[in-house]
Amino acid sequence: MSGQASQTSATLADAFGQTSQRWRAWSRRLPRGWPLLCVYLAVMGLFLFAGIFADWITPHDPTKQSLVNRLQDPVWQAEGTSEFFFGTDGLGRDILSRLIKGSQTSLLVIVTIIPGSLVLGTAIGLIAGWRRGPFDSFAMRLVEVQLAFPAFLFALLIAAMLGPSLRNVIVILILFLWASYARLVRAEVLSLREREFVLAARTIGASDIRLMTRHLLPNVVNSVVILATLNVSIVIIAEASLSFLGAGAGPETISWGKMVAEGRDLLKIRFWLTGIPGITIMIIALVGNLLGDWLRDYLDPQLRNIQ
Amino acid sequence: MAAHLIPRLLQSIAVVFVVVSLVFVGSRLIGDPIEAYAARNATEEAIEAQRDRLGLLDPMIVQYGNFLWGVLNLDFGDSIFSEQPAWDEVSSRMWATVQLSLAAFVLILAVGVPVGVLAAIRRGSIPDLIARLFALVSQAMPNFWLGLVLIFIFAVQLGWLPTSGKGGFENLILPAITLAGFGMAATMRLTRSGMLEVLSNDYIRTAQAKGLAQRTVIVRHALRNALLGLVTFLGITLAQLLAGSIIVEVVFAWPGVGRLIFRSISLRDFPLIQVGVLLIAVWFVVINILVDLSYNFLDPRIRVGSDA
Repeated sequence: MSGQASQTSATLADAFGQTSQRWRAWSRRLPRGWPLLCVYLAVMGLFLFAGIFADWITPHDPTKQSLVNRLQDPVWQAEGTSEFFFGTDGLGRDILSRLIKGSQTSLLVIVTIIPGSLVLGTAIGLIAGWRRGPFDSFAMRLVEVQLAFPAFLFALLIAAMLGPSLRNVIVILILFLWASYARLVRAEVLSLREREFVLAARTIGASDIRLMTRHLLPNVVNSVVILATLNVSIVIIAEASLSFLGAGAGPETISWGKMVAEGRDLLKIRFWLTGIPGITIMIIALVGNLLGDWLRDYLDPQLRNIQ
Repeated sequence: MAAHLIPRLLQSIAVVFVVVSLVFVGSRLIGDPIEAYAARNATEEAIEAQRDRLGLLDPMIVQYGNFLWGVLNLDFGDSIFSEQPAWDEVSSRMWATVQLSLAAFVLILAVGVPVGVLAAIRRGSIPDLIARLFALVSQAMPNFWLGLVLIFIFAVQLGWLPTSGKGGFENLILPAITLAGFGMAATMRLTRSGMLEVLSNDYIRTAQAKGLAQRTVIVRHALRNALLGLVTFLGITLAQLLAGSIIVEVVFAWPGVGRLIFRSISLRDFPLIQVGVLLIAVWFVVINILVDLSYNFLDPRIRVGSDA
């Protein structure tokens, strides 16, 4: 009897040992720091989900004003109800719905500005580093000028000239952010062009276009992706700051930066009106930076000089 | 040195010229200022006379020429709104902005560098972890929001400091911290990684082996080299502070150039916008030249001008 029991426990322990071994073997293949990575990806996933499906998942109409419902308390206050989870603002609009709709704006800015500046900067950097010559000197002068220019002031000025609109913000930020990609890619191409595989490719008669797209580009993708991830926080904060000043999203667009500005007058009695959108901006920017740091450590531990 | 300096100066003048031209074009695109100010019942003739007085009826090229000539003489015309000379309006607020930027810069140096050094020599310790966490959070914090959080905690809840405006030293504290936030975090991170890199060098071990005090090794041998990599960054930071002060000045109602530019943009006050933007651009360019020059003094190994 006791022997049978010990046998059972032995097989159990064995089975357990096997699964834990298998688990260990499997988890060894996972990248370092994967539990944290899961957290980052979950946050970003939630952000993406909210941004993409905003129009279907908001509990209330984010723009609908209602005098009866104005300044409802959020759910954690004594008088809060779960109908308005984060409460309502001075015009009776549901904060949670506005937050969800606002993520659409942030997402839109990210998915346009980052690929836009990345493609422009990478192309210029590739050509400048590979062809050298007058194009290179011209492009690098331009980069220097851009990096030594008060971008924010310029964005404010343009927004004031043409009226606040997301389209202007997107164009201006692309015109400013391409420079860092161009500089990074050019520097890498300058060292790559001396390598033997480039010489080999040239010897067998690869064209310039083929060399740049098939041989050089794959070698700079890692650093470009890292820089792009780190730029997520810059883009989010820039849009929010411009919208806060009334120079970003247009009057019909809901933006987190604008929500902070709208809650400012009630800062003394209702801090959460500025606090909730502010914390949201911060979390997304923070996770963007952490994800960038993680990617950098994962893809290229030696590459510590980006940013 | 001079051979390097001359193209650099020419380039800087070109940058200022481009900025000036952009500002001119920009301020003419904002819209007709007269429409914003004219009384509703103003007659067509009165409006025309006003436009004529401001030179808005001249052909664009003439306006541009007049504008450039004015820039050379520091004459930017009168503010449309207050009717005071624009240059006086801006320069009288310059001191407040410089004060704020310098206070923030001192904070960045006084907090960022020592904390970065401490985090590097005690790598992996609790203070190091706290410092890195702090840096991560403040780099993700938009400064308008940081300002509002500080106002809420220290002015509204605790009542220790005034919420906004300009007065004594206590008015300067919150805006300076807000403006310095991002720079402090970045400086700390850069100092830390720079120090870690330097500390792994052989000459540090040599210095320790020959029995120098730890303090001497860190300050004289390690920090001096680590700071070298920081100069460019600090230069850019100093330049950015002046531009970044726009948001901080708006949040804290600080009577500086940034707030004036912000207000002038919404009031379409061309002359004020022009002077303000021009000042910031010149400031940017001057700082960049100073950073370039400082290399020559700090590190004789660097031969500026060699195109790398």
